[in-house]
Amino acid sequence: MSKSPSEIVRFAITALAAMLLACEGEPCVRESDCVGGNVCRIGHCVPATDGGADAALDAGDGGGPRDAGGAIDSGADAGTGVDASADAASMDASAPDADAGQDAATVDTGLDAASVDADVDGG
Amino acid sequence: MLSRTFIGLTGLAAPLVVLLLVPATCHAQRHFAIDARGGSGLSIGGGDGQASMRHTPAYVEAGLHSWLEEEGSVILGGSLRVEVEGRASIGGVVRAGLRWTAGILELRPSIALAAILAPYTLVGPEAGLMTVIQLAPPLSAVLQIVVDGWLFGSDLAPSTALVMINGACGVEIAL
Repeated sequence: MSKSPSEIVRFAITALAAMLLACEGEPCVRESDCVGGNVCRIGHCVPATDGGADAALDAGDGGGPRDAGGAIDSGADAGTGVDASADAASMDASAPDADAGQDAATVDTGLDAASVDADVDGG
Repeated sequence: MLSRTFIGLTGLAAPLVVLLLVPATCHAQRHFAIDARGGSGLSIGGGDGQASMRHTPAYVEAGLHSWLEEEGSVILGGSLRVEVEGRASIGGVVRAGLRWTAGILELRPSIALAAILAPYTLVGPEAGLMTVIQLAPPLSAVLQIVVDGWLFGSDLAPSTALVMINGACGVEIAL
């Protein structure tokens, strides 16, 4: 029943070739085996839907075209950003003229309150 | 990311550097060798009663090893490891082993701490056997069988561990 060295070598080559040919469609064993935002769950790459949605909501910068929640959050954040830039502009404007700056600050405060209300309503 | 990689590589290399810089006692002569290897094999991941297997991404290693003439049987070294198939990751291995010489053959069983550091992480012990075949001194051929047990790291699926059984071949140059 003993095999000759040539038979062993032939078997080894066959096994190696079979292993290499079987590489297509291999199961995953590491997270890095999965691409396109998928995660590895022993043998299968599955979409990371939960993690992606959470990340989009936390970041507030949109979670992609398919994430409606992210898009809404992104709009709310954009409003806040406009308010912030308006505040900065008013502070710069108030430097040469104190009265004008106070007026601008008053107007900005109103805008901020309005935007906050809009955010609360929108949320 | 780069700083974390640098710190990780430094941490891996520090023990090796300390060992290599320890003054040789009793006028022992220290030998050095560098090597380059490429390899692949099988990766077996498992946990929660499930297991799966696929081939290991091909990798290349560049290593430095050192041993003392008088101590003869103890060899210390380390390698820089880069995975090059389907991903580009970088890591390192700090290794300690024994060496037995018989004619043109040299056997080096070893244990090591291996780590992949970027862009994801894997850390675990490693055991291996390296066979060095002297071709034309200082050039030698190197064959290696190595088993890695990856226990920690961001590249592991939750509640799983990973075992790699890899083979590598390459060349070594004695300095």
